[in-house]
Amino acid sequence: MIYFDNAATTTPKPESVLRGMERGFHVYGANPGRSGHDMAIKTAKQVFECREMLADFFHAKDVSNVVFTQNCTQALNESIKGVLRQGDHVIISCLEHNSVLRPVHKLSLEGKITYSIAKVFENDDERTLRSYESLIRSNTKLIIATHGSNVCGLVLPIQKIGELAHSHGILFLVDAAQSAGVLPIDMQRMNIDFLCMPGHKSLYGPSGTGVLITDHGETLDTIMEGGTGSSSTEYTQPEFMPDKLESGTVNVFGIIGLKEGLRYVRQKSLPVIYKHEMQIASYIYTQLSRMPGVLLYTGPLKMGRNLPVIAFNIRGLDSEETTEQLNQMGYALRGGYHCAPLAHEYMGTLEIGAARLSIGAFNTIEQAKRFCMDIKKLLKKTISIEFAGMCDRIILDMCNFV
Amino acid sequence: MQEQVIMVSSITYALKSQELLQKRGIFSYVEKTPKELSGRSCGYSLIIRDTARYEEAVQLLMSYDIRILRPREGA
Repeated sequence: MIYFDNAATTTPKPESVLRGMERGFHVYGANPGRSGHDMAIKTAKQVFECREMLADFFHAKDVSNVVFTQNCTQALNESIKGVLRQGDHVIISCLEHNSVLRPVHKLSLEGKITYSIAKVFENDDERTLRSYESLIRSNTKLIIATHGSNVCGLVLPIQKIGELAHSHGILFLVDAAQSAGVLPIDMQRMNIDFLCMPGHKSLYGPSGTGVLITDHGETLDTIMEGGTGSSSTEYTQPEFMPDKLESGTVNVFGIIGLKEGLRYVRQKSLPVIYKHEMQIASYIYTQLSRMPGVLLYTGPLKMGRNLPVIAFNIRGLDSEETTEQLNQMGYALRGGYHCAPLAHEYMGTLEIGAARLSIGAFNTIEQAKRFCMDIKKLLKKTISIEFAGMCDRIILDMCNFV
Repeated sequence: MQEQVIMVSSITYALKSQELLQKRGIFSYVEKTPKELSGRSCGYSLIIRDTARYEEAVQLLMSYDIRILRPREGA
């Protein structure tokens, strides 16, 4: 199986992640931040070290601003629902994932907030910014932007959007689900108030891990309360971070794995990872663009403007039929709507969906070459079936005529 | 040797404090705050063996906005 579904989750994981988690099972099996015995303290230190690495990697102001969640979706929900109050207005982009759209939409259905959708213009940051700016109102509390689309891979100008948000006194949330571990993110330089990411995509941690980093944790309403191992006799949730936003036992082994995944990314370095992935994605894009039976939905891939993600369709085939055929040929891709109806509306694929190919650090150019040759075979097969279908229809019509 | 205790509210602050102190050459270890000090509240403490540097340690942590709890705070 050749895995081209890294936008969903990355696999394989680096060997160090597996080794780290296995060691964790044997040595760090206690609950961190609850008991006082040596194993509990040592386990807590593992969790703390991961927090520190994340704070450093994303330029957080403080290690206590790093909150572990079960995934990016939880991080987004905690931020969005935590920061918004009655009467607030929110601006999101037209490429947002359901993990942004749904909590925002639910709050609007409840009459709590209103929201607007900013248009994104490929290769035209100024127009994208003007679109966001045109939607700002006196009650706009939060601007949300995905750093990069999980469907078509377009990268948004988040530093400029952050500057725009802060120039108007508006908070800025970035969904880094597809970019954390691929593109550099500096929360201070990019004016990011809430940074949400999964641990299990390009940070190469296991599933069940996610991260929220924010300086504003102490002002957020909580969406979950419970045991934190601190201020235990108080009936109310602690106000200090990260405890306020981390109720219950964290995914210790997952966090240890995430720590190793992040170490892998740092050692390889973001520029090396991004260049490697984009070289493979660009090769595939170029080959696909030369095949008349393939529909593409962005321009050629450019460094800094695109993620290594390609949405495409094969004429005559439903997107999920395409990915099913590719599955039978030994390729893992995702077809359909990718939990992102807004992105499909942007691409004009709301009726048919799209097949999505997403590259990871462990993909190779040889895999890409083989894939492109197999796409040609699939196209020939599709044309043959279509032609055969046309012939059948012609024969049938002639018989009916006679 | 008598030890001095710096109480903080959570394991995260305890470990952060330990690192800050270590960078200054003040060594400590982290323990659950003894009940006679914490009252009914849960928390963690740094145990400083070099008592001569206790005040320095407290001032350093406060300069990093780490809230030092008083004994029986939260009881």
